[in-house]
Amino acid sequence: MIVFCIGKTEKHISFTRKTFSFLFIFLVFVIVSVVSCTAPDKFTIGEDIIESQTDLKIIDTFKVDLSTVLLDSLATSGTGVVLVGDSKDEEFGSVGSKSYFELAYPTFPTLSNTSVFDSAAFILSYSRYNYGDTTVLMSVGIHQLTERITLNESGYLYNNSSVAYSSEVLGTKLFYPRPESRDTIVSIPVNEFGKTFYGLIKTKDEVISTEDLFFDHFKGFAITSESGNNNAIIGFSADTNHLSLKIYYHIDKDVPDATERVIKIPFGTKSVQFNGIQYDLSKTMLNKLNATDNVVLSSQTGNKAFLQGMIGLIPKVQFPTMQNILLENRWKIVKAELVIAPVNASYSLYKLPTQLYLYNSDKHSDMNSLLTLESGTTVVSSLSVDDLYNENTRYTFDITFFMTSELSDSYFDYDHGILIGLKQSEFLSTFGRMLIEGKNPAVKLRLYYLTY
Amino acid sequence: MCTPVKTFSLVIIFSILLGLKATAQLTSSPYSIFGMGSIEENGFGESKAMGGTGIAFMSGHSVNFLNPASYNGFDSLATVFELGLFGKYTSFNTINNSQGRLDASAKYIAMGFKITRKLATSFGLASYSTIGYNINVTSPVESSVLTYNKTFSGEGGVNQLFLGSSYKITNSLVFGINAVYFFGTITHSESSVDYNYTLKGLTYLSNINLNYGLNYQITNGGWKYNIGLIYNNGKTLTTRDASTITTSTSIETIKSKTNIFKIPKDYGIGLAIEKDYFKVGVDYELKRWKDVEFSNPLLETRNSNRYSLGIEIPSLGLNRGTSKMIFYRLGAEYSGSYLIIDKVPINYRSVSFGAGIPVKGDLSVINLSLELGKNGSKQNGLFQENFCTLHIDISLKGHWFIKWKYE
Repeated sequence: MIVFCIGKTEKHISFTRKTFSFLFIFLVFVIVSVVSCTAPDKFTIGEDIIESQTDLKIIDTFKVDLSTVLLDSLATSGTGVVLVGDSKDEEFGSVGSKSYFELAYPTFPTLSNTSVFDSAAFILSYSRYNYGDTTVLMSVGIHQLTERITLNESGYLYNNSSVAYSSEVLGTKLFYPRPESRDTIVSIPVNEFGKTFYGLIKTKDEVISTEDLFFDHFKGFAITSESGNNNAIIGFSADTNHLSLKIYYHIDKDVPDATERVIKIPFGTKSVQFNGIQYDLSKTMLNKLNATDNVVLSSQTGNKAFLQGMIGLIPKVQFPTMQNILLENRWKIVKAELVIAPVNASYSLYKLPTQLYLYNSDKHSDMNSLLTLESGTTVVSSLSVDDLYNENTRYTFDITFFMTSELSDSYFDYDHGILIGLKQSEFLSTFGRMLIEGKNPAVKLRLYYLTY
Repeated sequence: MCTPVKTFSLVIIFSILLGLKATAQLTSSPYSIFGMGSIEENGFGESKAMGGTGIAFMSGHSVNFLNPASYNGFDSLATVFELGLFGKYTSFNTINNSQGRLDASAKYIAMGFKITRKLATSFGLASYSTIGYNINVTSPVESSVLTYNKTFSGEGGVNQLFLGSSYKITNSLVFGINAVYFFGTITHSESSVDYNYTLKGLTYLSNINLNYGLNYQITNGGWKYNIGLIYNNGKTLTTRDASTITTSTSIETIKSKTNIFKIPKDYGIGLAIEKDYFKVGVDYELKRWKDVEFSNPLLETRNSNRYSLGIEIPSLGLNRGTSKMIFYRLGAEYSGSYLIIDKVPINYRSVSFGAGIPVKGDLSVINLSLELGKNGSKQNGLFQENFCTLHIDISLKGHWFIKWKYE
């Protein structure tokens, strides 16, 4: 065709030339776009002539030291949950929780002379959280604080904090807990206390005339576990809508009211509400742990490490032989995984945490920042359950960034350990627990190790 | 007319193509994993249509880079500007597998003209070797049952920037020389997306080498007999290595294996006969690759032999002898490669045909040719490449210097 065009008039020739340039550029574009736009099958031919210079191996023989740390204190204030009750078991010993809070200073109604007090009660709603055996009858009581709740300098109160309260109980309640039912309320009758309070409102007593005088008189309250038979810890919501003191009355003692008359004094400042924890590890394998001697190796505690929120028991791993890797030449860690398994048959009654988080630690075994990936994303591992044999029920964490940064200065700091914990908020508001197997299988550090 | 503006627009196209080559994932050949990669023969557009034949041919409408003595053939009034490109489809075949890939790039850009009646010159940039492969493999993770995906890839190549000239010693004898500056980068890398690492070996190469050429011509009653000879003494290229290992958290420079890269010593002879626009030629070229050693135990080298034959036929109709004359060309080539992998030589054989089409008066020619061939063998787990290459070559002729003189 091209041949045919040439040899005609000058016009035709120049047209042909343009066509040529156009065709040529078009052809180039077609080739380039075909090549760059198609994502063809993976090219595999030539494998046999390649001389690979990299080898990837897995090494999982580096020793991992597993221990249990008892954290000094956990800030349990302001979590929005009242935890009350007692529980005990062989592994974790006995544990109990009481909760401290204050009421708000409300606007009080003006009551007519004819009005009459009926009853009063603290009203609580389940937060749905519970720990232990909830089939047992529970008994809780309410006491008045003899001092006000004051936050410490850093703005918190801790699991080991306490506020003095009167031994005289304002009221108690015996009940079968129904923690899953958010609609069900638990009311602790405090009729004596309520009647007095009602009197103050009716007479417009000076005590309730200002906020300061009010809090001088009603410093706060403690919800306590009232008998030795409790074997569960129950969570109640600690917020204005779900926790209050209600005083019931009617306007005229002779005329029945059409509507219920109630004075509601709601829950007060959220930040000063906290849960105080009492625990006793003396009959457990952790009996050597205390505030000063706060770390114990898993080999001394039945080859397991203990994790429990509220108390502050947290497993720690350290890598005593990682320094040796630095002696080798031409290697890189491309991936590092930490694999932990729960102690077999330890989680039938107490559920395993669905997710675990890792925290940087130091030679004081403090709980520092959360471990992250290089991208800044928090390292988290979800439970992988082996329903069939239970053998492969485990958590796997990507700790590549931890390892590579720790090795980057050619010195592996043994003291830079990792704490295996719950999500921070859960650690401070639940008794989430777990036993980590220390021997069979041991905690594994799995290094994907590239040599070149 | 070949104006500087048009020339520059071609230069821009050339640069864009080079850029595209760098961005598009093109595969030239997995065999380019070795040494300097796939070695390109020096023939430009016209010669490509004739099996790469041209040691005894003179330059004319286009530059003949095979023999620097050929520059004497330039028209004494015109400047030749030339650009070569190619697109290639290769089917790679093993005994039980076959995959296809495209490759495309600019191949050379050159210019040539006569300075005096006896002295001519040419200069330009041409590809000497190219590397282009991407091989995906599944590798085992040692001491585990796991496997992972790994990609081996290579890119780059060696270029030659040349400046040559020819001098007519007697009426029959022309001597030519090319000073060639070799330069380029060779990149081989292996990487894994699964484990986020890349080992990259980068080598910068450069050096200057000289090519010599002779052309001896006898004319007898309209017949022209040419003998061409070429020679270069070989040269070891100076290298600088920059290898790195990159993981998700670090980049580290590492010491790499030091390889020796050598332009082999090269001898060639060509014979050509010409009459009434008919032209026939044969070439033989020997490259002393045996001097070059590879550390890879699978590899052996031997001296490479290139044999080629080419024929050029003018259009026989009315246009014959005019500026509208078309040249038809065909040829064949056989190269016994320098590479022997696992006892199997990687030989190259091809046939080609094409046409040189004048586009505007006597000033521009487009040479199109198609080359069909095979490279390598399926023996011993290796693979054979069946390829089809479209060579596009644009020659512009202009009277630059003369114009400038009288403007």
